[in-house]
Amino acid sequence: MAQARIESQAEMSSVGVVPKGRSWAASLEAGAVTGATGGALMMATLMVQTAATGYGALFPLNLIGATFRGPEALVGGTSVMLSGLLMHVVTSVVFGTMFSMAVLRRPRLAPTLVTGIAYGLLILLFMTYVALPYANPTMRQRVIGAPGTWFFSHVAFGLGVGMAPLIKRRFRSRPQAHAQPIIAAEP
Amino acid sequence: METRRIVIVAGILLAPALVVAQGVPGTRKSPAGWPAVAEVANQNALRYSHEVIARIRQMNEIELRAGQMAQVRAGTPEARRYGRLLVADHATADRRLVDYGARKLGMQRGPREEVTPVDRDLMAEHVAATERMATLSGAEFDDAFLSMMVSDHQSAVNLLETARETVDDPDLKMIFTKMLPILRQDLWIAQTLLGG
Repeated sequence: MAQARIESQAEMSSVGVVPKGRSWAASLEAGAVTGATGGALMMATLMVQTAATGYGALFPLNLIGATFRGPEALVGGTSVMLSGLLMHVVTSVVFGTMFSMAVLRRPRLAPTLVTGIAYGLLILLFMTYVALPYANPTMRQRVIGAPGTWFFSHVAFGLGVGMAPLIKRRFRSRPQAHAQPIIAAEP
Repeated sequence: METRRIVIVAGILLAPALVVAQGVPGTRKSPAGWPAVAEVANQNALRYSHEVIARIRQMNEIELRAGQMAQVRAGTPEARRYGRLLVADHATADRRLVDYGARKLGMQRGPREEVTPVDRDLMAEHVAATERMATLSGAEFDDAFLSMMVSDHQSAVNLLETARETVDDPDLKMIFTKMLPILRQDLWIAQTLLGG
């Protein structure tokens, strides 16, 4: 029986065929975007809280910047905030990529959102008890005093990374120049 | 040998009775007509908590005023940001103390309670110091403000460390435990800005 000849990338996506090398690349790209999304949601949560309590909306960046400068970073200016922003983005992308690589190839959204929230809370425990005491005790001493905000910011991060299935599908369906063409079987 | 054994056994049997006769700490029997020792101890503890909270709220009020002034009069952006940080930190600390006082001690939410004459004199001194600072600006203001913050925060850290060891209520101890690192950070920043 003659087999259909697959002519275009769009046809490959429509029949669920993924070119070799696309899966890993898609996961990495999706992970970066997922992590950035989660990081943005987390930062928005923190910024709302610090703005509401008189510290200023950009104070979370000072807190993260204290990784490099210590308590003095809390009164730092643009350079401190930029270093804090960079640190946050890198950390978010790394954690988001780890989650995206671990997510099933064709996951459903709802369970992944729940898993994402659980992942976010796992990161909360890791940051609070492992990373921050050594890397940024200044920040740790302050987040311990605001446990509710710290909790919800990690839930927000988890929701962001939990959208990995949506983002992964988008990357899979996007035609890429480097994808290897599949030679269709001759009739 | 036999006698010694009897004495040891008697001692083991009588020891709990001796402890009971002493009473569990805090619940010893008082003479008839006197308030129970535990009740007196509890009233003293409540009064002490009131005084400690009033003293710390006074401290918060002083730092809040200085921080608000610094946001307007400070010469450097760092000193202005430090002023904002102080206002936020001490407002947060005050809210926690007010919530605790209202919940556990029946204190009214609102302005702090009247403190002892010694504290009134201290407050008058600080008011005079901030009035002098209000005539300064730029680098002169920064020096005066930061010097005041270094000495005030050193006193505040000592006060809170003592209070944390002496108050009874674990909730109040926890509030002081959370406040102390923030105060130490504020002290560090003031020292760094003053030295720099």
